[in-house]
Amino acid sequence: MISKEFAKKRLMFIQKEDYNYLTYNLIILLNELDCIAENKSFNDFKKISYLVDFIGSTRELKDFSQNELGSIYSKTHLKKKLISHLLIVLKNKNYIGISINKTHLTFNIWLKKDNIPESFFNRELFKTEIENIKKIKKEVRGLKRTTVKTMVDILYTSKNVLTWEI
Amino acid sequence: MGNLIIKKVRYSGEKYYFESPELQKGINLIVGDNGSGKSTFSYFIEYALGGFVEPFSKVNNKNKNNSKYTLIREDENNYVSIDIEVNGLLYSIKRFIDSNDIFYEEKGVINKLPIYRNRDHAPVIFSDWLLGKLNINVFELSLGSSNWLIGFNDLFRLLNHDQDSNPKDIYKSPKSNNFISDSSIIRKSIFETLVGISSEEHNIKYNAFKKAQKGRDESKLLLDNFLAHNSCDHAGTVDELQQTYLDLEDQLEKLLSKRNNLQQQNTNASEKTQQLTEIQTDLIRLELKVSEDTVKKKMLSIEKNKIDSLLASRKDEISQIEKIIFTHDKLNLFALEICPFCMEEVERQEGYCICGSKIKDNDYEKFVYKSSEYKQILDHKKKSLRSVEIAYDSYRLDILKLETALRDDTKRIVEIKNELESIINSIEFTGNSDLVNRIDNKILEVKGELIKCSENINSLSEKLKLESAFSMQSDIFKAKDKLYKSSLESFNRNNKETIKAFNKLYSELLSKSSCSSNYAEINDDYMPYIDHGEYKERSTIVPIRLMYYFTLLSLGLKRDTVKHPRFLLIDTPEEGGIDKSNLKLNLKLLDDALTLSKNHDDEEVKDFQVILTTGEDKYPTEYEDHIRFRLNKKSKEFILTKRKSKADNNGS
Repeated sequence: MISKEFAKKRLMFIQKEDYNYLTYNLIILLNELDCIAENKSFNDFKKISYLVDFIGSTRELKDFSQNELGSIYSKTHLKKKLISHLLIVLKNKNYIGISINKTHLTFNIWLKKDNIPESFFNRELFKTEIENIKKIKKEVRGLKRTTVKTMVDILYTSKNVLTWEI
Repeated sequence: MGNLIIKKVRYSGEKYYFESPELQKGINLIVGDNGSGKSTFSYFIEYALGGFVEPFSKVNNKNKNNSKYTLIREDENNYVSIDIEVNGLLYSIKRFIDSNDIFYEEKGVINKLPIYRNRDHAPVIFSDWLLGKLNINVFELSLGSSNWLIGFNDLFRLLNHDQDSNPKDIYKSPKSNNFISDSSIIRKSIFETLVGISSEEHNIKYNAFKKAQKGRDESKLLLDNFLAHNSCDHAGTVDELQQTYLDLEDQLEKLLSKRNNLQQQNTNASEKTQQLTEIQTDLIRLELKVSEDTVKKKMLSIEKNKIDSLLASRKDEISQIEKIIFTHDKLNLFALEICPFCMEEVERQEGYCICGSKIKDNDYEKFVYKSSEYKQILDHKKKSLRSVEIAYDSYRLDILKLETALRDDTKRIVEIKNELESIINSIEFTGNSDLVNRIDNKILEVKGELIKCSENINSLSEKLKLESAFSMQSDIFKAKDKLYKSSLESFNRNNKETIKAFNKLYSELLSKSSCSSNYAEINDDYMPYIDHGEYKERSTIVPIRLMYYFTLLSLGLKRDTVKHPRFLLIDTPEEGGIDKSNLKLNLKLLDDALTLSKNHDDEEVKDFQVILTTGEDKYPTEYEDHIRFRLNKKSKEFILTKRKSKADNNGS
């Protein structure tokens, strides 16, 4: 018997904004970019919200239409809040480390791999995600260090998507 | 009949001049000794009448050094002029020395004519005018390739008894001694013209005869030529051939109509047309269906692709949820029993949050899901995926069905097209094409025969035309030939008669002369033939020639048909060492000649003029009265008188 309450919860389920969805994508990304210590940290966590949708898809990066890209870009800004919230939870659980870059005024993050269950690094399970990350790395040079603006220019602006500075 | 009388002879130059007294009808004597200018006087007359006098010519005379003529040659602005009377009409003639034009005054009007003929520049010459006045017709002689028109200068050869010519020749030497100008045919022509035995009538008939002969020859040539190039060996007359032609045309007409009928029968295959229309309708329907189906298929494919991408995204979602569940299970980030901040386990009261606040379900917009809940969502998603898959399958099937239908229809279209083609081809080949071909061949054959027949008709009629032309020309020729022959006969008869008269006169005169021949006649070349060729002493040549001239004059006076202008210019005949008495005797025979010219005793002698230049005492005393003037070298009575003008005043 599916309760009325669950029915509501099910209907309200937004997969792309689910914490667990964002979590596993974040872990895989940091691991693939080898951000596993403070000196190897990922600059500016906000970049992640722009990347998640590409990481999880089975489709090629070039296959997204201009409309889809525009839609992804606008939803990115909702994800930023979720991710910042998630980062606090993950830090409290000691899964990641967070530092503040005082010059750029950004949060840099890294994965505390020792605390992550080994099964997350099963390359078979996350095959799709790993493949996608590799492709994105090819597209965006220095993905780990680059600024939000440079990355957005490559992924959205250059593909005729209207973007704006945040 | 003509009558030429010289009235006056003048010479005028800047240094010298000469004017003769008035000359009369009848005998005129000019007496002078050698070198006094007797011959010059003759030359003046000859020159004025258009003759060629070599001593007067300023060219080609360097070896002749005769002072008499040097005076004339070296005189300037000099001319000879004579007054003449022809048939009672007066004319004045003037010719500048060394000029080839003659001025003549006729009824107060002065005209100019050239002496030498040139077909392009001078078709009419002075001689034509003079002969016209003397009623002598100019006729053309054909001498092989060249034509020759008789002129006054030619006739003058028998009017001027000069000293320069060989008396044996009888005729005065021509201007240039070539075989044409002194040929016997020309000499004969001169004689014939003078004695009038070359009549105009005869010449006209002769010309007509020649023309007819030419026409006949031409038509014969045409006919021969035609026969040589066209074989007219086909049988039948023109009428028969024309009948054949008409028959052939008839046949052709029939064949043509037969062919047309056959062709019309073939095109009336309405059944086939019906069949064709049906097939065409089928074809159009099918093609329409195919195009509709193609559009439908295209639409379905678009839908299918959309569902395809939906399916893919759903599959993505499912795999993602599976991963979410994995993450949840491993990390359990949001277990409601653990404080997210201190991570201590909390005994949570139902309906309340960890923090102790009451949970108001409606207020929640963001849920935290349990593993079981995730699983239920996964199941749900899987179910919906299933329905999407079903939709996808149904689209796929629809498209497959359409594709099959399209394939079949396309195949059918090709079949129908082939069928159509074969039907159209069969239409072309049905019908009695063999028969039509046979008729076509027959038509070609008949057309060929028609062309041949018309050619035959043409050639035959051409042949007939040419033949009739030839026979007509032959008839004309025969008629002209007859006329000419009869004319020739009478002409010859007349000539014989005339020549007989000439012989009689000549014989009589010559028998009285110093030649004292028994019998004289002229031969076929009109040359004297004395005593059947018996030897005569050398001096007899003088009377033989002189009597010849006298006879011509006498005959001219006697007969009106004779064209002789009744004019003689005689230079003293002194050749052959003839002695004075004989000379006188011979000259005296002129009286006899005049007497003989009378047809009967009572008749007056007609008008004539004889100008005789002779030496002192070399003329019959009876002619003393006829002396017009004398020339004497010793008493300085030279023919040319020096002008007492500037030349004298400036004199050397």
